[in-house]
Amino acid sequence: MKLIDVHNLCKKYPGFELKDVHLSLDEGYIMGFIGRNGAGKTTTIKSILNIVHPDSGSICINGYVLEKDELTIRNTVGFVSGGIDFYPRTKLKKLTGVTKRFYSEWDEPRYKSLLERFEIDDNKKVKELSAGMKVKYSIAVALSHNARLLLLDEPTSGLDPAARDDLLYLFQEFIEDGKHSILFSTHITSDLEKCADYITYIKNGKILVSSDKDSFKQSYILVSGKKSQLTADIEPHIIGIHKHDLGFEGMIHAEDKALAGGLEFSQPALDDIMVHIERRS
Amino acid sequence: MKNLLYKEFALCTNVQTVLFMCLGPLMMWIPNYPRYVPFYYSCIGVFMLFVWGMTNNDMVYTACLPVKRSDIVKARFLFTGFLELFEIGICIPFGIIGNSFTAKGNMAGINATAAFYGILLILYSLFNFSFLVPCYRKVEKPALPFLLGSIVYWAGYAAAEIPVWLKTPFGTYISATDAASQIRQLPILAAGIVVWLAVLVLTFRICVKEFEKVNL
Repeated sequence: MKLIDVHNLCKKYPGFELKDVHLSLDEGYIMGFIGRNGAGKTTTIKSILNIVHPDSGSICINGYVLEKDELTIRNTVGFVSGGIDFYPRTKLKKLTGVTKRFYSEWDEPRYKSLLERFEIDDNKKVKELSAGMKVKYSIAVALSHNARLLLLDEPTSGLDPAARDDLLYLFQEFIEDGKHSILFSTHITSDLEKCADYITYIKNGKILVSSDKDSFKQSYILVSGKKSQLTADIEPHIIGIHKHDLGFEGMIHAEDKALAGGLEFSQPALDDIMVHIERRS
Repeated sequence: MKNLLYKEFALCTNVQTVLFMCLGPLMMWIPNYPRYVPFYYSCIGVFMLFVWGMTNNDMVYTACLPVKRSDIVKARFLFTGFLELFEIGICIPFGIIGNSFTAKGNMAGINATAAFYGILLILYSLFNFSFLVPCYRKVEKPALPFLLGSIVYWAGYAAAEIPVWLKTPFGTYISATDAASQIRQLPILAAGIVVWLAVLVLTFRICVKEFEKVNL
């Protein structure tokens, strides 16, 4: 069953446009949603929750259509943002006390056990938590109202590597029963190397690629060579070319490999792909 | 709705709002003092709800909950209405005491009479409309709407006090504190209640439409 099914999502702002965004994610998977800052990741996620109103397109979450079943969708979705603090001067106990009243499937024992597991003291104020703890608290709330889908907007930004690793482990645990999924927006692609099953790449408001992670990575090859090897045949095919005194380096589509005979090849990481794609412009 | 109202009380009510609300009854004791002024502080109290909400990202927090946007607005309107009526409720006894302090009546303007509370409800209506509509048009920017609301409130205050200051028959009628006069003022109080309710409902409908369009 598809937990996310988004078609032709459009949203126009002065100076920015989300163009025909398609997203599809089955249950039991993590999709990494990558792109530069301002590429449209947050707008897409907020549109899925109708916090931002799309101009057109269809959004179906967990089998429910957003226009008709917005509240049901909100009940089954957990939204976690790394950048927003709600009620920083309020104690977690009080904030949760208000929040849980809105969810019909609130699981108090689970919430308590998650707080214990994350070593979060709910007598603390929101502002007293570290960035990682804030994200963990948001996740604890999302998991306690039995969210089937987590929408994570840059949840690991600003976290140290140990805290990030801890969260990635938690995300894996969340989906391993095959009934839950995560859409994980980030520009820290190394996190996705560890946990994502699918990658969707957004650039200037348009989905560039959406495929499983391995296919995505295998569809590109890093190339490098001497100046003399940079022929007119190959140069137009190189993405994000960087020329230097000794030669050049860049990235090509895997299907163009035959054109690049004699060059040095290597497999790119997600980070490399992002850097080269963005360098192209 | 009761959960949203609970949220308004538990999370949105702040020290500043409570303090400004408390100023009303305290100022009603002051002899020869403009009686509309204490109630302006309750307008500041309502404004502080929005400032507090802005500081705490309340709009996004609430919009992420499984609630309708129209209900978010409705809860805030009910809470605002409650604050205004509560303020009037706690000020009435202090107004009666304040009236008794000066034998010649309030030299600074109207006395705290039945007509006064009716006119006050109309001033609240003017404030609610001019403050809340732009507030929901551009959420999280309550300063300019409050400036507009304040100008309208003070303009309304001046218009309401002019007949009393000029000692016109109408001014004398609305400021008279004896029981018989106050009974004759009841139509003004009733008109104030009707206007306040009607404007609140109208403002609510406009604000829902505005808030539905907002991208948070």
